[in-house]
Amino acid sequence: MSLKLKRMFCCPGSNVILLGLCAGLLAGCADLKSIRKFADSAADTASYTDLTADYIGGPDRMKGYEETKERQDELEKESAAREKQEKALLGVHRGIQDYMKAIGALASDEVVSYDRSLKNLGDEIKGAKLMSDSKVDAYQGIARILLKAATDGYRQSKLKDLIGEANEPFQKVAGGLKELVGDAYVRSLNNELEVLDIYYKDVVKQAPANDPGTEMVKENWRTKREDLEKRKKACLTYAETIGKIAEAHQELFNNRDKLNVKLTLDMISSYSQDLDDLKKKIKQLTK
Amino acid sequence: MKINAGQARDLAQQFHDLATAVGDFRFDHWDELAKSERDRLKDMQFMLLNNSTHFITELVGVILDDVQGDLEALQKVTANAEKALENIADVKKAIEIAAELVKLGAAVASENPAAITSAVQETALVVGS
Repeated sequence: MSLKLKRMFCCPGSNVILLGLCAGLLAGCADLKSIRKFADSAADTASYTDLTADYIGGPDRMKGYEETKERQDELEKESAAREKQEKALLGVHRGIQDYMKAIGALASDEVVSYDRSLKNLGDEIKGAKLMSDSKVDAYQGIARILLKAATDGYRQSKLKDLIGEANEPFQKVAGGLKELVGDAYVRSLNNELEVLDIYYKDVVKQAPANDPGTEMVKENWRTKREDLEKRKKACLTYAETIGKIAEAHQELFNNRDKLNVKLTLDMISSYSQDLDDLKKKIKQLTK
Repeated sequence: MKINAGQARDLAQQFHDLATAVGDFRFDHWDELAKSERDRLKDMQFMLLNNSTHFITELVGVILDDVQGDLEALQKVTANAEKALENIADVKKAIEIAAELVKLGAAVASENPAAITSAVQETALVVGS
């Protein structure tokens, strides 16, 4: 230990200085729980791929209503083309999910907690009788704060860099997923609705007057229509959710120099709440 | 010639609207049409809808192509994030190794061969993990 440091730590007021230093460092440590919660929720949303599976299965479902071999073959081709898109579509979900998971992990306090590792080290030092137990405890306490402060600064600067680098591609990828689900998938479901209507309108129109079976057919038609309408709403709600995630990420980008400021964290918490509400809505629509 | 997203969307919509228009005509004139005419129009409706479906698949393909470059950029940033996490984990790892080295030192000082062997094995395990 240098003479200067020795003097600093061994003088009577050293404990007070150390306590002050540690308190100062602790004040700089950030609690990024709300960023973590948002990122976890966003990753969970991105991992939901049922609507994509629904899009891929569309032509196959329509095939059952089309009568001629020629039309069925056309849908068979579409089905094959959509199956080929599956990997890339899941890749878009996965790209957002992995990114959000990484951001969430980096924002997690767990990552900068050294409690367990330091306890093991302290136990070994105590066991080896290298210094008195009280000194081990004291150094362990100081080391915990210094390590947390050092890595916390690192993670905050990394988070800032990552959000800065990711925002542009993230906005485009999220925008792409929003367009896929909120526009293309909805269009596909609209076509399914149209096919369903053609089929059932014909059956009802051709049924003999006062046929008791007609009501059952109509009921079946109504149920299938309602199901398709629900799936359409689920797609639109999912697209809205992805839009919220992109909006929140833009806010993180705009405030990347103030990630540990209460105002930023409160705003991100409010986005998390919106995501939770929208996810509940999707769950209700798809159950 | 490759179409863009706007063109694919327009075509999908136009074929869908045409199918609806043919359907409306068929049902509005149901009684005036012969069964063969109705069947022909119905087949036309399905054909138009299949065309619409085809352009929706095209639309998805175009969107996927458009985001590919950005998706790769996002994956690179994600890899950087994972690297940063590894760096932090390395600090934890260093503390764990230090703990094992202290244990090993104590075992060597005890001159107990069994304790030394066990400590060496544990240290190797932590360093290697």
